[in-house]
Amino acid sequence: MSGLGITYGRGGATNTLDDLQNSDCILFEGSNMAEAHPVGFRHPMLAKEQRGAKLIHVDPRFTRTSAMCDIYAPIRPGTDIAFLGGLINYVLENERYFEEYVVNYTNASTLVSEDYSDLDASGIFVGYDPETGEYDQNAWRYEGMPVTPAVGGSEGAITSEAFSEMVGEYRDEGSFPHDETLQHPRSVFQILRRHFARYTPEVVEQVTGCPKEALLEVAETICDNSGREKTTALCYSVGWTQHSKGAQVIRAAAILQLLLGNIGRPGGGIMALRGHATIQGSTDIATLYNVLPGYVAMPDANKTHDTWEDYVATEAAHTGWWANFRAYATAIMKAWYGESATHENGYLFEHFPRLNGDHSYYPTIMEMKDGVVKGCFVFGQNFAVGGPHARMARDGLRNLDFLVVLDAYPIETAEAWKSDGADPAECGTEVFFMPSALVAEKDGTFTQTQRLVQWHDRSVEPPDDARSDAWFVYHLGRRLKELHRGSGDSRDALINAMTWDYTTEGEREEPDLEDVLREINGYHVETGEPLEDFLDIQEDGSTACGAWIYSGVFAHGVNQARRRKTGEYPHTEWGWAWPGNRRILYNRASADPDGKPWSEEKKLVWWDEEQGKWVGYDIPDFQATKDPTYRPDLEARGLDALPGNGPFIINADGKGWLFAPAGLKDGPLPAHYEPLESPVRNLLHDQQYDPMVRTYQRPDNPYNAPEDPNYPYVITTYRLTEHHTTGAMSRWIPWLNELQPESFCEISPVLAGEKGIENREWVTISTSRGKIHTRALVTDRIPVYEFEDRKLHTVGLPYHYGPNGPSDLAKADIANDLMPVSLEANVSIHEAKAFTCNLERGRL
Amino acid sequence: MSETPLESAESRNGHAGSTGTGGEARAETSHHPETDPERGDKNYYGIPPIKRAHWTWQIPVYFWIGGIGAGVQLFATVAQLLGHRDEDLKRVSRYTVLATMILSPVLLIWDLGRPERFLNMLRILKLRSPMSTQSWALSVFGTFSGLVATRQAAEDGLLGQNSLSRLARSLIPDRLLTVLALPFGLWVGSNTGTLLAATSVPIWARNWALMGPTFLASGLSTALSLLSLVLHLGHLGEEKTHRVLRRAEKGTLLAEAVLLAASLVRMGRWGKPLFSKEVAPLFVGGSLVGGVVAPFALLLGKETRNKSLLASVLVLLGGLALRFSMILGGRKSADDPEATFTFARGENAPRPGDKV
Amino acid sequence: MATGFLTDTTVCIGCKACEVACKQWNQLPADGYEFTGDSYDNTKQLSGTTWRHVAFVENPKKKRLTGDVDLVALAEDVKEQLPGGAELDALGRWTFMSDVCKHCVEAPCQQACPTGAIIRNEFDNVFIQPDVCNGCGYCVPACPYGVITSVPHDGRAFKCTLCYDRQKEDLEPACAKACPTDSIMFGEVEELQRIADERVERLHAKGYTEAYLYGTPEVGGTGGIGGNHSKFILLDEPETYNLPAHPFLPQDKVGGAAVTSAVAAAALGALLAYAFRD
Ligand SMILES: Nc1nc2c(c(=O)[nH]1)N[C@H]1C(S)=C(S)[C@@H](COP(=O)(O)OP(=O)(O)OC[C@H]3O[C@@H](n4cnc5c(=O)[nH]c(N)nc54)[C@H](O)[C@@H]3O)O[C@H]1N2
Ligand SMILES: Nc1nc2c(c(=O)[nH]1)N[C@H]1C(S)=C(S)[C@@H](COP(=O)(O)OP(=O)(O)OC[C@H]3O[C@@H](n4cnc5c(=O)[nH]c(N)nc54)[C@H](O)[C@@H]3O)O[C@H]1N2
Ligand code: SF4
Ligand code: SF4
Ligand code: SF4
Ligand code: SF4
Ligand code: SF4
Ligand SMILES: [Mo]
Repeated sequence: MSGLGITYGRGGATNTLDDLQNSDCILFEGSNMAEAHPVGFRHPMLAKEQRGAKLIHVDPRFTRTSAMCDIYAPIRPGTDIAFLGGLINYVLENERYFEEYVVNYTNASTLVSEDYSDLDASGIFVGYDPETGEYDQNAWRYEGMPVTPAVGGSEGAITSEAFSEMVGEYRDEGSFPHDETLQHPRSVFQILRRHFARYTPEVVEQVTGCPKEALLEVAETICDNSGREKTTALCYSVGWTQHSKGAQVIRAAAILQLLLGNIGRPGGGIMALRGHATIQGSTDIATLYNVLPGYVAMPDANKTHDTWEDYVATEAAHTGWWANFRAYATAIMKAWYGESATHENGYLFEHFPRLNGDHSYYPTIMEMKDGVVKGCFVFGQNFAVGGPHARMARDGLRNLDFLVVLDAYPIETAEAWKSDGADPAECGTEVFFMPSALVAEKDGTFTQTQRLVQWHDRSVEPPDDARSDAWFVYHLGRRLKELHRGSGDSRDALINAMTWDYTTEGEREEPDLEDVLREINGYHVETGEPLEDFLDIQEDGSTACGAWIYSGVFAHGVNQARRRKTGEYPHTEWGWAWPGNRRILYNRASADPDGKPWSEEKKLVWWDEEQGKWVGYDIPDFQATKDPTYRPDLEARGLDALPGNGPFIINADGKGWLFAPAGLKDGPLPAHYEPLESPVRNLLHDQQYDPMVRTYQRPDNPYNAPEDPNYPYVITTYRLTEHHTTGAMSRWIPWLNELQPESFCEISPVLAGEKGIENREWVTISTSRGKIHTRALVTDRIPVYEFEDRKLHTVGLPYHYGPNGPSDLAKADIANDLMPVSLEANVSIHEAKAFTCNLERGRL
Repeated sequence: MSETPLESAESRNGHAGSTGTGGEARAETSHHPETDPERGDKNYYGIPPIKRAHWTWQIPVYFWIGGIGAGVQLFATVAQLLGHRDEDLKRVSRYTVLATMILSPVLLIWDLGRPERFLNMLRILKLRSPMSTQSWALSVFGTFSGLVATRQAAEDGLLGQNSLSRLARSLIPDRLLTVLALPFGLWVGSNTGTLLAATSVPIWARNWALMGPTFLASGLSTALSLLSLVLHLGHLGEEKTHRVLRRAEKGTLLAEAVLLAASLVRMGRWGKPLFSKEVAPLFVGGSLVGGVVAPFALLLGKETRNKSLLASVLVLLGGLALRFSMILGGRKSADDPEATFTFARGENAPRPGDKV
Repeated sequence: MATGFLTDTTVCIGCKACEVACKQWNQLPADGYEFTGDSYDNTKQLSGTTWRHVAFVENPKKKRLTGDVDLVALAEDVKEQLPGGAELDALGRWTFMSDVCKHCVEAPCQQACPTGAIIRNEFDNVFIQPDVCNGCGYCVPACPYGVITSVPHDGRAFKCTLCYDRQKEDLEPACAKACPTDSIMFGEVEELQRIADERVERLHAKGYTEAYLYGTPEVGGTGGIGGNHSKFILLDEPETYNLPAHPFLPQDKVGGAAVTSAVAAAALGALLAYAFRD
């Protein structure tokens, strides 16, 4: 979620779901909230019913969310930056921004170096190096910042951590050059104005296909509902992320919300609506290959990470939270390796694995297919259906030596050895299929959309041989340790050192997950006393902590995640939210620069002069006793280097970044590009698609060229309320399956008419990767977009179906067999929301 | 001026693949009941708003047989009351009624989802539930006719010469029971029609006033035909009986024809299912022509035994056809959303504020 | 105390949670797997094994439920200036309606039932006692709303119990409990009527003058039925949701039919007597 991370400091949703009840207006874009988060959608409905909030949906399809909204604006898939650019332009040109907020809390007044020049018609920002095909982000730096050589080999670009570093150095030279009148031509504000000036309503209409009246209506409505007295919230989900420029779409939204002054305030914010129940938790506690728990950077062979000291010195920042990097990293090592990890032996860092390349999901799949990766453990994923170019994934699975799948259902991923007409006799993969327990059958926590950690108790024992994932991993680890006991091999040092002492319970010896949560919370090594919060974490190895951001979840030895007290807004005694149980991030921004609430109705936290601290309904996301008038001196480090009017405490300057001087690989500001595969040309720039998108040129992964007449339609894939993701958890449930029993695609009556397709008829959808058969649902809910006198048709395709399942009808083709593998530059996400295809009547 | 999206949508809302004046094809969607002409004016994807009765063949057959029982009872009772003493007629009627009263519950129970719970029908009596009164009437009628038939059997020596037989002969007041059974028999005969009328199925409910009478008349005509058939075949019965039967048959057929015609008028547009492809052969061919017009014509001309036999068979089959066509017509009616909706808005339906 | 439902279609998001919750609580089987092509409705109707059913009505020509901005009208005005010329057909209304047994005040199904299986329980809900029902199926065509249905292979009739078992335990019905937007409200009938009046008034004030309450003695619960204990706030004509506008109590005809039948019996008797005359 680097779009939010770069702008505000953290990638998480800024507000809480129930806080949407306080909104005066909610813009849903890139999210079909009513369908994908129906229970959470209760809150927007309450806002609408109880305070007359305006709901807006911007989506290529008219969905159940659109049906609930006051305004529906249709846009062609993949054109959100143009739409949001139109909104930003409207706000700037009509001076509808929240001036005091913008001047104080954003980097609007900061000057950018002369190296930067406005984006021109080429669509390529300054700093582009045709040799490497990458940007030198030095060209985007603030005025007066020293030029830093690009750090690290593999990344080749300035990370945001490195940026903090630069700010630190830079501070030594004096104060930020800035212009509070916002008039300086190189001020971020003026750069922004010029950058977005081209997104006029007319242009937006041409690019997005959305009538400009609708755009203006949306613009008016959100502006009317933002400012001192009112707040507008924005909800997005994978309708925004799954694009070749996903992070930049979210950047555009983040900029808009900063301009309108909606961040850090009740009823405002950006809700990144998460997917799987604990998808937030699984990124926090590190399923990503390139971070350790709590987003601590993974040691990397291509960075200056040769020794522990190198590693810590490279990654620690001078200002902001990451100044404590050493403490967080040390605490992880102490949690994992206990007594064996000491300052003297560099916390066993020499044995620690290093990244040596991209080991994210997609490259790994390709390496499976290419025979590099030999074995695979699959816990709770069904990528044979849900991964892009799913056929390639199944080919990869068939090429493994061994495959271990823990799942509750016979999912397609476990059965690739006999699918696609493959001859099982030819398939050399040894498959271990282990029955897994499901959520109600085990203890544990969920961390949901709003970073809220909630404990759940098991309500029934798992049936038969089914066991929890924790059981599997714990006992696997235990056996591995036994196997390696006494080995003097250097490569076995870590497994021997690993602390693996969770208590187990019952006949089945399920590990006690509260033990694990205690370790994640952290404790004093000497006494075993739990840490109260991450401020307790020490650099000297006297504390251990599994994930610093979760520190406090077991404060006072009490499982805080188990709390279920509904109290007053914002319900701080229900579960526990990271960081430090704060519910609304950057909430210092709910008060004006002097620390007074912007308005009585929208007050959240404020500066109490008498007590000399921040007080309010929420836990301040700010140093509790930092006076609003505080300004750092040159020596200040860490959080002390941030001013009393800088609510964005993770960012090195405490400001929200309208302009991102570093951190994003594809530009300091969002610009409209067409999707990698598009039936039309980019009207705004010569550059057709995001220049930084990562493609894989291989024979089994061809791309449809832009404007290829053989693939004239745009597919967008999505979810239905009735099913869950790859259908693995819903296709087997008759009650859900009867509600949407069969795979289908949604097309407009116009396209159906052109092709002679009747409702319910079979159609064939094809791309250069593959083809599928499915049925047509002909509906007016799929708009037809006009583009330069052409009609552009959208094919809507739910991706829940596959060949396995209890009902014959469910034996469907797999939507993702159509998709290419391509990766967004910053967060490596596929482009499931817009790619091109052909569609014909019948089963061809 | 270019067309508005509204108009253009309308002009394009034709058949799949057809090209409108706008020059672009537009397929039919199955949605929006409001706007899709293919789907009729107002309904929900053509899904019936009410549920049809699940009844299978046993029910129309039961209606038919029950009607016969009622008709025979009526004829026999009138004969008895008028002092017409034809032992053959008496015997045949009593055994016929018994037979119908044995078959009827068998068919009814057969059709029950839980046959073992037939007795639950007699847990309570509900005057407003035709099914309840039907069950009770059937039970009483069945019991009485059973007793009467027992007496008859005893008299006919079928029970042997034992005390039981004697007891039956001395204790069963057959003539009284015959008269007492009549109202219950008539209830069974007409109630089969009322039972249909007291539902939400437009074709039946609309004709509520005439369903009972029509079923009763048809029951009588089939009963008279059956009696005449049996007497003819068995070379039984007095001459007068045959004469009366013949006259009564003609009169009843006439009454039935009038009632059917009145019913059709009364059903109005909701009677359409009777003339649908599937039902018309049965209804028009079977019950109207085959069951009323043809036998009536046969009976009008010079009397011959064969003609009479043929007429009786036709009337019987016609009566069966009528029951089947009513049930099938009811199905179609229930399946037709327009029928239900117009009926529940029609001038016969209660208006808001009406006191019914 | 009478309990019932108020189902407000204007806040229903069509999530079908109610439909699934009902099946789960009552352990009802799936009705089969048919892709109907009828919007997102693949279960089509209430049945003996579907006691809540969510209808999907796509109505692109209707002014949208919540739209203060009528984009269709807007589009008409600006069609000529629309270079993008997006087709605006899709900007209509999509409404969802969670249907259920109406729990009629004078319930036709109950009146029809010969066994007394259908009763009004202590909550004044229309309840089928499954151990009494003998599967005669007579209640089925009696119901003017197509609710009660006999289940194949079992023969008995089933429908919403208004979660009698849950109410006895002071729990709200499963469907209402599951509904995320409180589109389904459960409670005392009088209280619900009050809420309904309020809501309808509020909708009128917002400009949705077409909003009305279905299930009153004026609409829906008409013709001797005397109203329904489960009511609905609707925006379109009842037929759009597959509901009859002015249904009636079929049993009201029974008395009249008895009279006409008696007259007919007498007439036929006379006819026979006449035939006997020599
Ligand atoms: N019932 C149900 N709920 C779920 C899930 C499920 O499978 N079923 N999955 C969960 C998971 S894992 C996730 S990640 C979330 C996802 O939640 P969502 O992101 O809301 O789900 P999607 O349906 O994938 O996509 C959302 C919308 O994006 C629209 N869209 C497509 N392309 C574009 C575009 O270019 N611009 C804009 N503005 N919109 C576009 C689609 O039309 C769709 O309506 O849902 C979670 N909730
Ligand atoms: N075309 C297209 N493709 C997409 C998307 C899209 O919008 N369009 N969305 C993407 C997104 S956002 C997501 S999140 C992915 C989802 O893709 P996946 O995560 O691959 O799909 P799921 O079906 O959610 O798989 C979860 C599996 O976990 C199993 N499971 C459930 N609980 C447990 C448990 O406790 N333990 C274990 N071991 N297993 C368990 C389930 O049975 C199921 O098989 O799909 C992605 N793919
Ligand atoms: S599935 Fe669970 S997480 Fe998703 S909306 Fe429903 S209740 Fe919430
Ligand atoms: S709606 Fe039908 S099933 Fe429900 S109480 Fe009324 S008549 Fe009976
Ligand atoms: S089927 Fe059962 S509930 Fe319905 S009328 Fe017959 S006995 Fe009563
Ligand atoms: S009240 Fe109970 S039985 Fe009736 S629909 Fe709701 S969940 Fe089903
Ligand atoms: S649960 Fe509520 S919102 Fe969802 S479909 Fe049912 S009535 Fe509508
Ligand atoms: Mo997801």
